[in-house]
Amino acid sequence: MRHVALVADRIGWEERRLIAAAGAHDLRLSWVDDGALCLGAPAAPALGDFDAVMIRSRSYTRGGLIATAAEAARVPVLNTAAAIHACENKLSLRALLRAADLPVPDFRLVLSRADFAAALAELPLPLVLKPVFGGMGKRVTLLRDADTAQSVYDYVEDLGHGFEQAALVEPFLDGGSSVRCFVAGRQLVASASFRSAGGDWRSNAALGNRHRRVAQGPEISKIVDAVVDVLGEGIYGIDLFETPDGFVVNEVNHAPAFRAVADTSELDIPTAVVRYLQEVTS
Amino acid sequence: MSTTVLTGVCPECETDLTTPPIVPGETLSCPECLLTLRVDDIDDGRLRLRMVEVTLRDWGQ
Repeated sequence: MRHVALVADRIGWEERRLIAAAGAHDLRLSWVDDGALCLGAPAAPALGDFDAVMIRSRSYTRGGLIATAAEAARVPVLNTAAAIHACENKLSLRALLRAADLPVPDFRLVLSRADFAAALAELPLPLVLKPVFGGMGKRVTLLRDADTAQSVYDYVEDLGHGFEQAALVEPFLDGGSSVRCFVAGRQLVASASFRSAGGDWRSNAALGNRHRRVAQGPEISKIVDAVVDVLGEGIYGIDLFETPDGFVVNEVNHAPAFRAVADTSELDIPTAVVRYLQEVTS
Repeated sequence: MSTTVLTGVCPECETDLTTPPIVPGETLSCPECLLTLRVDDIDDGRLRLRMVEVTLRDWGQ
């Protein structure tokens, strides 16, 4: 039986179901603490018992680093280090996708108050300010008024490190709704629309907003396929915004949650992931 | 009908804990001090628990 390491700092709802699905499909999936691997030795002894590694770290620091070290030790990793590094940096991802002629929201990179002022002058309100590194909707801020925007940036300047201050400013698209597409391998397994529940303008799945199933039309399938062409096969949560000109790719999660998407789908997402793991490790 | 129960001690407040079946990596909340505890290992029905943050500062991919 193939044995895959599920690398994460803890087991949550998704990981429990992945482990259960693996057991039912002749695959052993074992939790490994992402803070206790001490990788770097050429043979990666902490991963010696495994045929492959699946990164489920929620941390945007740990995932890419662990994948890089595991690949250096010739251990197959899902997702690849290159894909994780691209996904964990919103600027890198948008640059990659744009270079491949994929539609992404217009944006400005903001590293200083001068950048912020220039972005406000170039793009029409309302705008969204979001950190380059981060996720789950944290610190994503809707700027409706120019006169309060500068005060908001005071808080960015007070953050402790330049790493945390790096931000994107982009147009506020689709009234706060988004489409989350869950992908395993190249297969679009399920897609759901997320909309703010009213108490918070953000539609992020991690914030517990309203969601419903979305038909997987040809436009969504085409854009998902093109994203996988850029990042390589893997397990992804691809977030789209719908605009009058069609869908644009907002971001891609490399260790996607799927609890909310699973609510809207008749397909068994954990089994789809496990089948992909079997394919990769066979 | 019997149910397997696992036992352990909160490493922070030393409260005795019992849980239904649980696997390494899962978390629970100590009913006494309310800290989040992660199961690091299970040996002969005894849980080895470690206090962890509810969320890490860099969560979010």
